[in-house]
This record gives sequence, structure tokens and C-alpha cells, in this order.
Amino acid sequence: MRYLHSEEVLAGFPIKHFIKGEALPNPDKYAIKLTLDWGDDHSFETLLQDLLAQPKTSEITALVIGMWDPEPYDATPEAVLKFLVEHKAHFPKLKHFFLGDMTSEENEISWICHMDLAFFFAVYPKLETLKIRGANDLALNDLGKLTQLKTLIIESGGLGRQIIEQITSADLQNLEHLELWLGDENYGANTNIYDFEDLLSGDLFPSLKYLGLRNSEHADELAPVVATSPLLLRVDTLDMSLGNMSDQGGQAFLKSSALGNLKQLDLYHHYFSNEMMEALKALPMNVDVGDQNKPDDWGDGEMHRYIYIGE
Amino acid sequence: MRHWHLLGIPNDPRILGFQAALQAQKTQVTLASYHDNPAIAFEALRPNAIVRFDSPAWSFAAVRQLMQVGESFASAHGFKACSPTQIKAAQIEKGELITPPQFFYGLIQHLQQASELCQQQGAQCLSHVPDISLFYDKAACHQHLSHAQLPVPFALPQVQSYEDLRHKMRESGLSRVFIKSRFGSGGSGVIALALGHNRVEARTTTVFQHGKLWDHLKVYSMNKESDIALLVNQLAPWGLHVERWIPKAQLQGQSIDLRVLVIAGEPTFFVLRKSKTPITNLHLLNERDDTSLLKQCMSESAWHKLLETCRTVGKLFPKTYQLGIDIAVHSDFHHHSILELNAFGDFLKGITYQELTPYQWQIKQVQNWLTCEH
Repeated sequence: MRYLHSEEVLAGFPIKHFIKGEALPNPDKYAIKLTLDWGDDHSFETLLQDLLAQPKTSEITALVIGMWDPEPYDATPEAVLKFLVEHKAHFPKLKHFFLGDMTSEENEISWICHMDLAFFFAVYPKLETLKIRGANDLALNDLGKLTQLKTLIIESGGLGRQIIEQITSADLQNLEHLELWLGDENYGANTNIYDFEDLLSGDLFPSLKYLGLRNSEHADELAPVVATSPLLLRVDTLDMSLGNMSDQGGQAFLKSSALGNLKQLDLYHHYFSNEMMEALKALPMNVDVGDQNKPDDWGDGEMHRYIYIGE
Repeated sequence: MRHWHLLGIPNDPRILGFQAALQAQKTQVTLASYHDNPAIAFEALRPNAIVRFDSPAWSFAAVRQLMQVGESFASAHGFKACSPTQIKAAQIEKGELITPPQFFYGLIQHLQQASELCQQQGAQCLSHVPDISLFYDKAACHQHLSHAQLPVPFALPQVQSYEDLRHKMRESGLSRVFIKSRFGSGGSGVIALALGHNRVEARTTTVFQHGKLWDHLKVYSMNKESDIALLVNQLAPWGLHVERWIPKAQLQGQSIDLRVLVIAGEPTFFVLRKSKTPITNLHLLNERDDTSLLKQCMSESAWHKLLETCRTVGKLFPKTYQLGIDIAVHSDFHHHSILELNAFGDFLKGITYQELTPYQWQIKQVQNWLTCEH
């Protein structure tokens, strides 16, 4: 389950909660998480006000926003983001930001409501890490303002194609880690292989070291275009884990002559045959073929293969 | 050394385990079976003996027999009852879920008789039947803990049907709830329900198929409201207890909760249960892990408050030697809520305290506890 470890760490900082009425965890050591529990008798705004009153708030470099409303299914993060914008003077060192750190018990990943973050980018242009969970109504206009962005992660149960366009139209010279969870059509995914043409052309993001197109229900169709992308000549890691890839997709990597300098190929959670797993493991880079799954037979003549996180 | 009597199912690993732990201490032990009428099972009861009640659930025959005993009581309390023929025909072995209230009333009736016999013959019982009754009745237990100001999830007033549920959720402003069969045990009859904008999502271990309810060792997802309504309405005549869904803390992407075994009022054994689903009950073959993982994520004061809650629960039931508390640490790793209390929750393998298993520890401490005033 190392694949979901992420919520315990942000940009190398272990995540610690700031609890109202208690001291701020050391911001040099920890990513500070703010979240609302139904047992709390204060609002998110009160929690934020309390944060401002802490002596070391201006030292915060990594900030994590969890449940911004105890009943979050129809609440966007607007109030939280506006607060951070309004009080930007209190967060001069903020570099790493995670919006929507909610578990599936708090809110389904595809139910988390977002919005256009352009106004936030304008005020925090020095972000180096931006991680977002959920993609409903999300827009990343003006993403290019984040000229120092090194890591962009969008975890979703269904990613819309406009997000891909907004990302690829941003000139992010420093971007090293681009991780997109593509998801399921039933939950808003509408990308097809043509939406990744610009990204895979190899002309964008000159610093890219890690490319993740994860949790995809079109993993088999995506694999051949990714496996032959010129981008692979310069990234270290290709991560197509958590999708529904079968032998058809696996074949693309065996046939490709463009795997270049790839050091790590991550295909964890898949529907490969044993033979395909062996063949992939024999490739010259490190290949992760953990979590083999068997398709479900519903008796409707079609075999069903699932991605790791839907809903 | 005092003689022990164990009430349970003779070949149940619980009984075998406790018996072995007693025999290792050269303590004499007699088994009393649920298969027998209490008057017969406790015929050989010796004055001054120590009596321990364990679960009857290992034996389907015993479960059926208790359901029959409970029929009139369940009907009298307004629950849908099953006839002896229906009970006989039910495929309990394959996971068919029938008539939890009847089992409950039958069990309490049986234990009440056993307890009276113990009293008459001067034996000392480690359980208190009114406590067991309370632990098994989720609605009554919640109310009791809530009155004692203990942290429990907000609960809806008694829910009669799916329509009633939706109405009460709306009134209380709740969008995510756990629906439990009021007298169910383990993960049986549990539905985690989330309402979103024009959508619903339910996860459950219980399904309605071929006109019957079935418990499976697997969690199903449902997103058709009519299916969910049907399931809730099938469970409703046996009593429902509905609480706010407490988002549990997660470690390594898995939801966790704690089973705390309180012995003689002191939280002594801890099991961390992990699950990829929101339903963390032990029955569902979930993983267990070391509690220190969780403690690392909590502040010292939050952990101490949790222990204090367990002690307060222990104090509420001074006549009960041991009880299992299921407790959820919230996703903020700060708050906690009591989810359930268990009368027979001490069958926990692979954990020790001062190098003793839960059974060994109870045997060692029992004399101290019995000599205290209750």
C-alpha cells in the first residue's frame, strides 16, 4: 500500500495537524495540516485565525488543507483560499501546498469540490509543490505564473481534458514531477490519447524527471503513445501504475525502442498475465509489476478491469 | 485454587484457549455448553467457583436454539420474528442474516438463568447480564454512553425505514452515516451511506438477494438508491441504529480503529485494525497492526484522553470483569469516538501484556478483582 503513503508526507515533510488550542508543530520539520473534525466546535476560519496568532506561522513552508467543511460535499475551498490570499503577509515562505487532503471516509475523491485557482496562483507565485486531490470544477488557469513549480500532482477519480490543456499551456521550465490521476469516465474523466499529444511531444517541461499518468481506465490505449514518446529520452521515471493495463498495454513497452534512459517503470496494479510480468521484469530498467489483478466476469460477455481509485 | 466454569461452545477456539490457559495454571475447569439447558449445564457448579460467560456464536445449532428461545420476547418488543420452521430453514451457515433481535433476547434469557443459578449456588460470575444486554443493544448502549458524557458519534432518533432515514438525515444536516442493525454483531448488517449532489454511495457487507439478506466477508458498493432503500427496508423491522459516519484516521492508506480490552477497569490490551474499507470489524479478515504506529501520529494528550475514556467506560460497568471497546481515532488524529462495546471481545490472538495473553492476564488478575467491592 505504499502508493497511498503520500498523504503522510508533503515534499519530504511529514504531515502534522495543527490542533486549535495547541502549539503549532515545528514548521521547519513538518508540513502543517489544517482540517475540520465534526467534533470541533469551531469553524475553519477560526482555526485559520488561531494559526495566524501562532508565533512561528511565518516559518511555514509546507501547508496542507484537509476538510474545509464538516459536510464538504458541496463546499468549495473558496473561503480558505481567500483567507490565505488576504493574509499572504503571514506566509512569506510558503512553497509546498496540498489542497484537499481528505480520505475516502471523509469525502469521495470524485465528490471533492474545487474551483479556478488562478487568483491563488497570482498571490503565491513561488510555490514549488502543488498537490490537489479531486478535480471537480477544478481549473488551473494561469498555472504558468508558478514559474518555480517543481512538482504538480493531481489525484482524481476522473480528470477533465481542460486540465491537461491548462497544464500544457503553462510554461513551467522547472517542472520535474508531473503526476496526473486520470480516473474513470463515470466520475468526470473525458481524456483520450490525443489530449496527451502536446505533453508527449517532448517539447514541454525541459526539467521533467518523473511523468505519472496513473489510475487510468484507458491504460492499454495510452501505453503505446507513452512508450514511444520522445519525452522518455529524458525522464527517469515513468509511472503508469494504478490503472487497468493488460497484456496489450504491456506489449507496448516490450516493443518500444524509445525507453531511452528510463530508470524506473512503475506499473503497479495491473491485469498482466504471468508471462507478461516476467517479460516486463526482464527490461533493462527497474520495473514494478506488483498487485496483479484478475478481470471480473459479470457474465455479460465482457471482462471488467478496474482502476485503483474510482468513485 | 478456585474451580472455574466456562459457559460457551465446547470446541470453540475461545473455550479451548481459555481452558488451556487455566490448565497451564493447574486450575480445575468445567465446561458448560450453550447446547444444554442452563439447569443442566450448571448442575456441577461448585460453590465458590468462578464463572465466565463466552460467546455462543461458534455453533449454528446454539444460535438457532437461542433464536427460538427469543421468539416471544422479540415479538413482544415489536420486532419482526421468525418461526422455528423459518429458523431451521434459514441458511445461517452460508451467511443468511435473520432475526438478530431474537438471538439477542434468547441469549439474554439464557444468560439470565445461568446467572441466577450462579447466585443461588454461591458462585461468582465475571459478567453482569444487564451489561451484556446493554453492549448487545447498540441503541441502548449509545444512549447510555452518551448520557455519561462519553464521546460517541451523533445518532439519529430511531429510524423506521429508508424514507424515514432520509428525512431524519435532512433534519439533522447529516450527509454521511453508518447504518447498523441494532442487535447485529461483527460487520453484520452494516451500511456506510454517503449522500452527494444527486448521488448516493453505499458500502455494505450485507446484500439482499433471492428475497433474503446475506452477510458476506466482503464489502460491496452500491450507488442505485432503490437498491439501498430496499436493503435498509429489509433490515429495518429488526431495529436500526444510525450514527454519523466518523471518518477514521488512516495509516498507509488504510482506515484504522482500535479494539481496547479493558480488564478490571484498566485498558490493558490494544489491537489496531486496518481496512481498505470503512468497515473495520475483525470478522472481515482485516489486517491488524502494532498500536505504536497510531500513537506516533497522536499527541501525548490525545492518547491520554483516549485511555481516560476507556477507564471511564470501565467504571460505568464495575460488575463486568472484561469488556472490549471499539474506538475510532478521527482523521485529525486528535478526537476519538466510541463505536461499540463488546461483551465477548477478548479473543485476541498474538498480543501480550507483560508477556501474558489476554486470557492469561485475566486469570492472573481475577482474584484481586473478585475481592474488590463491586
